[in-house]
Amino acid sequence: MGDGSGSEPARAPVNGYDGFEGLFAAKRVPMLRLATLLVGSPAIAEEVVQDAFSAVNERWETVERPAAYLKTSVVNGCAGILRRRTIEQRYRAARVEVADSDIPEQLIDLRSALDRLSDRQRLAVVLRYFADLPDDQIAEALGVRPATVRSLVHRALAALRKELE
Amino acid sequence: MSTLEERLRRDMPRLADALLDARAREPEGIAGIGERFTESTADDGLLVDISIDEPGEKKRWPVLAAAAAIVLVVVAGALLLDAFDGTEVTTLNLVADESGTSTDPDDAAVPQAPPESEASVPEVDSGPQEPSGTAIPQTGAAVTGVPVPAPLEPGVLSSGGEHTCGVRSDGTVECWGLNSHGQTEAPEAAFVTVSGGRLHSCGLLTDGTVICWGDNRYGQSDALTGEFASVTAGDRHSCGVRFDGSVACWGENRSRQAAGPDGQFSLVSAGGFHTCGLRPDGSVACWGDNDSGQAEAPDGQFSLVSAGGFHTCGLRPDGSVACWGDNDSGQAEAPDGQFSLVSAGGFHTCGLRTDGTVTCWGDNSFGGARAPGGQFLAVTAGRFHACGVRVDRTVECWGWDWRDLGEADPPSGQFAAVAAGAGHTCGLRSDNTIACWGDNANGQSDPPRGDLGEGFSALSAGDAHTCALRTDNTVACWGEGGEGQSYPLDGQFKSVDAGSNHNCGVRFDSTVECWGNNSDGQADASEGLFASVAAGGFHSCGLQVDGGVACWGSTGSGQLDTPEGVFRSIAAGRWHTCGLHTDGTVSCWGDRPYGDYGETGAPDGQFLDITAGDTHNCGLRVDGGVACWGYDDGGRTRAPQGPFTSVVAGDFHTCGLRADSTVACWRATEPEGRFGP
Repeated sequence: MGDGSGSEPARAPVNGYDGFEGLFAAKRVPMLRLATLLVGSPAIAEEVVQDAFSAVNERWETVERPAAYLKTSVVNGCAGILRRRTIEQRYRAARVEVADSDIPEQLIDLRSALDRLSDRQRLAVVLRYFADLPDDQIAEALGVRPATVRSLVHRALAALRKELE
Repeated sequence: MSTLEERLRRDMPRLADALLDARAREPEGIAGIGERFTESTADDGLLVDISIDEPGEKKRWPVLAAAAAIVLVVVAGALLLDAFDGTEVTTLNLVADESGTSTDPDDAAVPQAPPESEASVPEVDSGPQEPSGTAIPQTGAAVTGVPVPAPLEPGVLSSGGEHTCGVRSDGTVECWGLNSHGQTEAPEAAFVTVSGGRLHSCGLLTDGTVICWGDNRYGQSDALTGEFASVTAGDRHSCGVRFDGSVACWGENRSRQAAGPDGQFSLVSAGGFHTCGLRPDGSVACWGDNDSGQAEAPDGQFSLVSAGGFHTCGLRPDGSVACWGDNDSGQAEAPDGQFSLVSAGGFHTCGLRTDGTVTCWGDNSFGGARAPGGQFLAVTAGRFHACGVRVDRTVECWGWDWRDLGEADPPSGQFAAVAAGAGHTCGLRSDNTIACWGDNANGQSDPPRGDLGEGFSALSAGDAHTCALRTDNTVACWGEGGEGQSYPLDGQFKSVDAGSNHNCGVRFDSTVECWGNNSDGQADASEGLFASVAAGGFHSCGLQVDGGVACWGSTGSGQLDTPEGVFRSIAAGRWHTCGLHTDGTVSCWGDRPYGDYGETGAPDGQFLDITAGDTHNCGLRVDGGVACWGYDDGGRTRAPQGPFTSVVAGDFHTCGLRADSTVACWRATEPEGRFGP
């Protein structure tokens, strides 16, 4: 049997996606959700995600795994934003944008609790429990050692537990 | 996992959606929020420059070159595509765009005034308090009068956000496409018309009552009681025309889209966040959101009106089409010519010409405005797609296919084995290499190339990862590794089976070991001697050497409640388990936490082998035929003619290895059969 020849998928997508358009269609919302949780603001999340897509687009021919590149860009973009803002700024901005009354009641305490975490704790928690990244990748994204990630998560969970349980 | 951790996993996606959703409801994104950041992050080289300008300043869109145009088109519409990463679809209500809501149904209904036409429907005693509808004007078709193919009654076919529903000739409704909220699960009933909303659907029954299904977070599926002449489903609201000509709406009313004016209507069409109705005198009245002018109907007479995401189109008595509202994608620029139907979608519009051909205009990001040639009897535009009824009454759709990742498009050539994941498929070639197709977002379709001369002898696919047994009986895994599922244990295995996010393998001493996600103990293998093992969604089961079954992991759905008996093989699905008895019959057990799709109701007869997917299962018959059961959703259980030598079920697709060693796959797609009376 062997065959082998002509065995490439009939509609072999470039880089796993049917072009940039395909990647955009498949990943825009997941990335928006991730970024929204990371920065707390859908408006800023949108900017970060748009930037990340444009970065992927510019490098489309050379990037081997555009989805992974995109995710990294989003995480880095959000981390960069957070580095430059105080918690109060972020908290205030997010509230101006989306009032608590605009989200389901049962999510308000979670939102407040996440907002009150330090940026690094929040990143660690979101990346672990929402993005499902392993600690070593979270460490890479935050520029810390994996052990630090575990400690960040531990402290974040303790803080969240106080607020939520 | 602690309850807090569980809550984080469960509620963080909901919170993200709620925040995005709330923002999407805002008239104009409050982009900068008054703060200014301009900076370039410089970390790993991979970084992106971030600069968020203050509100009034237009973003840097212009910077994006031509290639990004697509992004612009889509973003301009403010829509967020639902994205299914292959994982289970959670809520994605993001946007408000209604897209599709193709009001068509109704619109279609236009021509014939509801009362009357409906009257034709069964019995509705409710004597029209006033022959309101009566006066209805000219039907588009009537006007144009071109005898080609007469368009179908309105409401025969109606596209919603990412799904479409059609009334079959026997009066049942079939829906296909995105089923994130049960919007394609039409109840069994006798229908007259159907209307697809953004994430829900409504249908008019022959007894004049209305029934809705799917998303109900805004009450849009809580249909009012009483009799209706027509019904329309919008983004988050629904409306119907009573037999007295009055309009009644339910669901979200934040934009006053559910606050219909007094007076009589002959038909109504619910759009994104606005609603338009046709008065008996042929004038159109709209209410609700008007930020794009979508509720400012022009003067003059119409015979049909269709409210889209942020625009509205109407059919004039002379067959011309007039559109108003958002025109960012050209969706309101109706071409010249005579039409008999018009359907406003999310960001595009489709019209049925009096010669039976279909023309679409507006956003074509995903091909939704690229209508195929030939003649149609009806057309309906969804958010990014459109469907039409051909003259032979079959349905043809074009544009955005909500979830075609190519997982059901196998390459040519021969295979020795095949494995189906959530959105990808891999096949083992006879030269011991592996080829994968479909979703590769996590690298699950990038098998190792075997630089060291290694080859593979078996394979199994999980949600977003793949594992294979090398010819030296060690295991290799690739793809998503967040739960450790693609980091296999060392040493040799006789066999390996990939679950959603964990895997189990049988060692040569017949013990079982598992790795990967262990949230429910699914990776804590029972002790004992096993002949084979099956890894499911959150549980695992092993076939003991004496034919008994031992399971471990999540017990929540009864998937571990193994019936008595001696088994020949076992298959674990996402929430359920199936076992093949030694006499060839099949038993399945376990219920998913939401909705029963019949995946545990195994058919009679004997099987040689079985496979369990997300919501459906298949078995290989003794004659090589394949029988599938469970959730069909437009095709996943419709196996083609055999003979097959093996079959594997994924989330949305199924693949079989034919007797000639080629692979055939089938998946949810547009349905077969006839629609319309």
